[in-house]
Amino acid sequence: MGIVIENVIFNYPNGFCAIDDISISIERGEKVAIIGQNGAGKTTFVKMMNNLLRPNSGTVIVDDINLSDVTTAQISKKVGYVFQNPGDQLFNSTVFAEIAYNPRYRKLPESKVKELVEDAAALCGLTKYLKTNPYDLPFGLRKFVTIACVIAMGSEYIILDEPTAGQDLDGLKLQGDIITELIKRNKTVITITHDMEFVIDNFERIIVMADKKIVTDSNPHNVFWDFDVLETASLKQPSICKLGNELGITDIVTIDEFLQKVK
Amino acid sequence: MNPVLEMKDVHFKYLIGKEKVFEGISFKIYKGEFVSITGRNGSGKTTLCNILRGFIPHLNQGTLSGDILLHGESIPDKSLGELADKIGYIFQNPFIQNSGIKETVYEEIAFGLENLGIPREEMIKTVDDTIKLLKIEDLREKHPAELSGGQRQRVAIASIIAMDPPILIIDEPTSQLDPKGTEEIFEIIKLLKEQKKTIILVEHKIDQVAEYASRIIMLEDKKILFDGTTNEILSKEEVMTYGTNLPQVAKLGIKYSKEVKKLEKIPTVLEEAVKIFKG
Amino acid sequence: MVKKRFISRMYPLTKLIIALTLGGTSIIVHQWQFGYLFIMPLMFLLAILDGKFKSYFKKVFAAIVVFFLFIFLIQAFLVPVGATIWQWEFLHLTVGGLDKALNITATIGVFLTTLLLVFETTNMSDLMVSLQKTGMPNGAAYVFLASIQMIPEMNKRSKVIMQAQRARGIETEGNMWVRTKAFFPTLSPLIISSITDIGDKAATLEARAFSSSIPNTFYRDLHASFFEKYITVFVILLCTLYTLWRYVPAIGGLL
Repeated sequence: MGIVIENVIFNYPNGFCAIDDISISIERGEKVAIIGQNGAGKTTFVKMMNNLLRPNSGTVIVDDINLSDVTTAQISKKVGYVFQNPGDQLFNSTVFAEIAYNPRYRKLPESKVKELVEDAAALCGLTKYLKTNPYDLPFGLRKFVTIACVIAMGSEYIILDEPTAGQDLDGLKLQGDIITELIKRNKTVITITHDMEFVIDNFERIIVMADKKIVTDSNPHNVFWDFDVLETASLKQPSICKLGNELGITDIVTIDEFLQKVK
Repeated sequence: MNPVLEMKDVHFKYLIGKEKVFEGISFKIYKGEFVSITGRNGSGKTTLCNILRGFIPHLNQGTLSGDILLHGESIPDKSLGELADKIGYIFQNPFIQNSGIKETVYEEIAFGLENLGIPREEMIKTVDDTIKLLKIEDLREKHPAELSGGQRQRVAIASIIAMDPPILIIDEPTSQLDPKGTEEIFEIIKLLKEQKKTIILVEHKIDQVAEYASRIIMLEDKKILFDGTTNEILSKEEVMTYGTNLPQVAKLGIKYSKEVKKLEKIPTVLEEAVKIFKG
Repeated sequence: MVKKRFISRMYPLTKLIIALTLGGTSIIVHQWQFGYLFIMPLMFLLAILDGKFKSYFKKVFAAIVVFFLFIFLIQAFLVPVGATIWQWEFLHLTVGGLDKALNITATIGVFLTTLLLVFETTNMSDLMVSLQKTGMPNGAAYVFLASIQMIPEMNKRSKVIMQAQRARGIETEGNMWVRTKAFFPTLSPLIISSITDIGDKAATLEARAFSSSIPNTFYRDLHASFFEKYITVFVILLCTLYTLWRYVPAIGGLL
């Protein structure tokens, strides 16, 4: 069980190589953050997990299903993917219809559809917007509509592509809560983000990508105190680490850890 | 000294919205100030920027009342064309803010100058200077539609800076960018600050706000909740209850004050924190 | 960069005026020889001289296949006038029909080959600048150029949307019926985003002083040369003479 990726290589039709020989496995129930510069290959990489892009060589296996044997729509029941831009996915006239789209497409009974929608909406803080047109919501909330859609699809693996972009503090907290709840439900969450504080607050496992490859796959302490990794991936330490560094307090990544050391 | 920009008791409601966005907003912004507008999503930050630039009510209608003044003259009474070289505007989404008709970055930057009727010789000099200033020589001959988000955002800023407006409104310029792209944009913003431009910035990345802005106006519930110096606002713990994050060092300072030892001043930028904790 | 040969270097407006003059003449004189024996071969020759023959010929050929042949056949066979030259089943090719078909297609051919040569050898931005200099409104030039650039952008976007829909479980790969069903979910985000983009685009343009009342200047430095100013006059003069020769009996017209 889990996602097993072996030696995948991906070249765009114009010959541009976007992923250069990556192997990795993600267990069911894990939460993983993927960080790295724009253009490092993060989005291309996760799109191979649900067949949106098919590798030129290497294999992607999800719960013993080899993705070369199925279509994206078929695997979407297992692997849900939330795009960076909500405008690419939303097309129904109400938030309810939007979230209900996939369950209805799967011809589930309407009572079950309602149950799924209400659950997903509650989780994403959308209960009061169910009758609203998604395009009347601000960008930040629209993103939550797309997340709710994937939750209602019931996918086991949920990929979030930059959910933190443009979110305020409440939005970030809610996303953290959603991830926690999904893990409780034994889902697997894979998140691409540029928000390092968010990564540290919510993830134990971080995959750092740079230049078409995985640079490291480790915990926040190892990532944010490995200056070679940070340099290669053009990342910066969060300010609490920088402060620690100035004061000779190493290996801390949170405020609480910092306080522990100074006390 | 007279304010550059001023709002007096501004009320606003969008044509399609049920509720008012603003109920009595008043502030004055002086020359060379760097003001950051903060507040939770939906608190009207972008709307406020749009009103200051005249996009509201010219492009986006609604019921607007109160005075909105540029050097004492009413902004809504001016045409958008008239305001173009006075108030520059940089948008959130890097993917829509190119002209859509130019074939090279160079011409894209020249577009605003063409519209302003700047003579060709001067135009070329200005575009060359801007490209140098923003260090985007490598993009010069590229097609604007084939750039990455970060590159597009830099070109968009260049296109506005070339027009040399004394006031700049910058609305979440880095929300789509990675840490390196963000840093590059803030290096440019720093340059603008050094040129003594008046800057109004909306930005969620609070560490950068703390470092560059001199003043913060925080919106909450259709009004201005806080208006003060950056350090004063970003050292208040309650700010976090209104959807705005605090810099990590400020959060640390607040917690340290409570749990270890009371600090006289809560740090909001790294250097301050280093000084405080070293001492 | 490839050095531009003379047609490509010509002032865009000059080319456009000459093309339209030739097209107009072709309508007035209504003589298939003008198009078939003179202008069309001349345009191909110019395309060769300009080093653009291959892509030019492709475009002309595509245009011929699409509607040129169609119009010719309809005119030739469906308008029976005069003696029959050739017959197959119910189709009669008549002298009058053939003549009409030749004349109509010749006129279309002149427009087609001259305008395609103009577009083949002219940068659209240059063309717009030259038109704006003669007083065409900025808005019109903008709409024209923006629509040309919009097509590849829309194409890219619809691909992304298609992906997003697949990720939502909508089957877009497969037979015609499956694809048709996937059409709506793809189309509406495309339309909605295009509409919201228009609002944002308007603001972007305003930020760049698009509606400023100051007369525009242009970065592209284009001038019609002395030669170009006179060649236009020369072509118009020749065309007028040709028309006169064709229609004024005193000099042998209206044979």
